[in-house]
Amino acid sequence: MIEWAEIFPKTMAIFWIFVQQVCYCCIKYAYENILGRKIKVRAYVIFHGLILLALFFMAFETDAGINLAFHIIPKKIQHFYPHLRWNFFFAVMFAYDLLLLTYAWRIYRLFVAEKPKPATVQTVLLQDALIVLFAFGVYFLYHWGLVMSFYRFRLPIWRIRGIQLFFTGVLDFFFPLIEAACGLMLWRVYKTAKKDRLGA
Amino acid sequence: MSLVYMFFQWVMKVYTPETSVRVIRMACVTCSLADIGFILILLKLSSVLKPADAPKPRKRIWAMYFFLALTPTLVIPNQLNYQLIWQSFVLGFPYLILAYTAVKELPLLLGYVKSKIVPKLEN
Repeated sequence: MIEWAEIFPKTMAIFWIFVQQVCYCCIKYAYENILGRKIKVRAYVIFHGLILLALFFMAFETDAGINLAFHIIPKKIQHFYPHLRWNFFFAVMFAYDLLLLTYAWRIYRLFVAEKPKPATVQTVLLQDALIVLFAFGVYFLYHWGLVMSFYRFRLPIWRIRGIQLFFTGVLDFFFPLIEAACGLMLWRVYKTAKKDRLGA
Repeated sequence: MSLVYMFFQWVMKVYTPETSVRVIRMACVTCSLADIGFILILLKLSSVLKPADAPKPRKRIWAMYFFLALTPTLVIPNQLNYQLIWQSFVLGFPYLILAYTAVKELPLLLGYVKSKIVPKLEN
């Protein structure tokens, strides 16, 4: 039973990220297609597939994953690896959710505006990069503060879990908000489509 | 740095294990509601856009209502192991339907959105 309880949430976390990646690739393709731009779909799929593979190795603590992680992360923060890892998954989900929201917003603006002005490729790339930097910046700043507090102020190790859970708790507040915002935009599209097709 | 430490002190004081369990339970419910709402709108949109003689995604819509009915069970306290599995099940299945719908209905949705945007871009 204990094994199931460990495996199931990890599988689901990987699965959620996979679904977000599918949605992201779909919406990215849709946006570029609407504007008549061509994107390298295969390159996108391979890139996000590699991210998923790396997360899979991290999640299931395979020898390869642990070796890789312990080569990359400094010795000082290796104690925190289990805590950092779970929050890292949340940061990845947060980054994908923000990217999905931005693309939904871009398509929505094109949909509702009378004279739409699409962003240039460079602007889109810059905005995407800033979003990813923001999501991981928040993650790294929070955990940097946590590790520094642990060493400088002798924060009790048993309290680390609570601080780690606080990070996920805050992000948990944003996930439904982001999805609700996407839902509202989609609702507007649905109402317009219904009006067009059914005249209702 | 002391500000950061003060912040963590406050977190340690406020965010007890009991609070975190309550927050996670509530987050599961709100996430599930937002997910299901979003997927339902997506499914309704694709059924509106489909031609009259084409099959509508009725099974998926009913599956969404089923999971919507299961959502309140996420707040029921249970043994942690069972709770994790139950939460993963109730939150995971709608996501599976979302991925399937996103891929399957993409040409339909894209065609409609494109038909509304492209003429405006050409003007």
